[in-house]
Amino acid sequence: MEAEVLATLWAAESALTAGDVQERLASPLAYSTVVTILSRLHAKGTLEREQQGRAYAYRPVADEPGLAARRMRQVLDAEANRQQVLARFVSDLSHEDERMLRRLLADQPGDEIG
Amino acid sequence: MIFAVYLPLMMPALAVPVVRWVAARLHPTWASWLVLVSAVILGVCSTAALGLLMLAALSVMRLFARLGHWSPAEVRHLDAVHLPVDVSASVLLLVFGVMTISAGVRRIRAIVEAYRMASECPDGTELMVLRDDRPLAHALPGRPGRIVVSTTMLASLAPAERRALLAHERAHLAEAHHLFVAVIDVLAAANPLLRPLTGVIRYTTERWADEVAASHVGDRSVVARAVGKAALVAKSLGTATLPGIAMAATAGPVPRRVAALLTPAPTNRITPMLMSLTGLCAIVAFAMTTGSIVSSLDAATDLHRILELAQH
Repeated sequence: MEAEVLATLWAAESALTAGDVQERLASPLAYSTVVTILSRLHAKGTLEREQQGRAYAYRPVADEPGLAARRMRQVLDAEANRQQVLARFVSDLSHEDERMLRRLLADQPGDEIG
Repeated sequence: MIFAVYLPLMMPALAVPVVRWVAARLHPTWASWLVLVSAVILGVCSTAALGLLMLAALSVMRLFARLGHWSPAEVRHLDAVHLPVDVSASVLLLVFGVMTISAGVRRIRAIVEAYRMASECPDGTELMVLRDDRPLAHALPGRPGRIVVSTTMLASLAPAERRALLAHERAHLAEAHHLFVAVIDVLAAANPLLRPLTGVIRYTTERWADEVAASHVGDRSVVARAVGKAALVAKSLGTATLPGIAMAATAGPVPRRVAALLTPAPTNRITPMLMSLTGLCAIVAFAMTTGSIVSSLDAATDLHRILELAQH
């Protein structure tokens, strides 16, 4: 659940209040649960917050885990050259694949596909 | 030597296409296990067969004959040795052996490195977000494993799709899919005939994670959209193409995954699976792999008997 809340905040352009987060989550979560998760993440130093009206608005700390993130990027860059341990969510598309994919998804309800 | 020894060597050529065909139709969890188990059996048996041929070649060398107290002339007389075949088998065994060990070392190093990375992540954070223009999403194995995604990936997806993505990566970690892939890669080094299975196992484990995500989110089309969008974003940013990867003319893995998610869930129950043509072929594949165990044991017994007969 925590991961989902964090992902939501990272995907947002601006700081979000607990109410905003709750609205943007795909899974139905009680307001109080969202507040708990947010304050826990804040206590861990993952999120920073500012007063916004009567509530706190949260955003991810810019360069969150600093060193770990930098090292991770190095590994991923190396990984891009020699596909090894890390499974990638999506693999490469050929032009034919792209056409087929757009056709498959075009029949689906939901928002526009970039 | 004995006919039985050639069977395990040729069996991958026969069994791999069958395994491949079945794996594309079976529930991805079963498919992954089928690929893993049959590759292990085929790989181990074909290596054992090469080993037997090498033993046959060694058996006529004076040094080994003296050690085992048998007569090289007698071994030859019993028709146990065809030197050109046995010597080529020995060369193959040495070449594949070196390749296997180096592949194994590479995989183990990469996994150790991943574990180290994961342990360096802050405690209690399952999700690591990287500020990156590329749409990245990876499962980083470790104890505990981490999910690594880029800001671009998160921003490209709708809330439900983000949830699907997280569930997908979590499934990779929970089911240790990196081990499936690593084992098949190492076996492919031991026997190049198994190489097609490296692509198959990557596909079936992705499908497996897709199915887990679909049942977690409760809507297959959401997962389909997440996979499809991520691939299209990667394509439009021109980041996903790596040198040296041939573009297949037929449908690549991503459209096949999306298409599979847009159809009803594959059955996970054994009875209907075994009753189908796919199940029948799975049994054929299983019989073939078992055949290679039987024949390599057969060949080993044969060689042993011949050497015993040739003993003074």
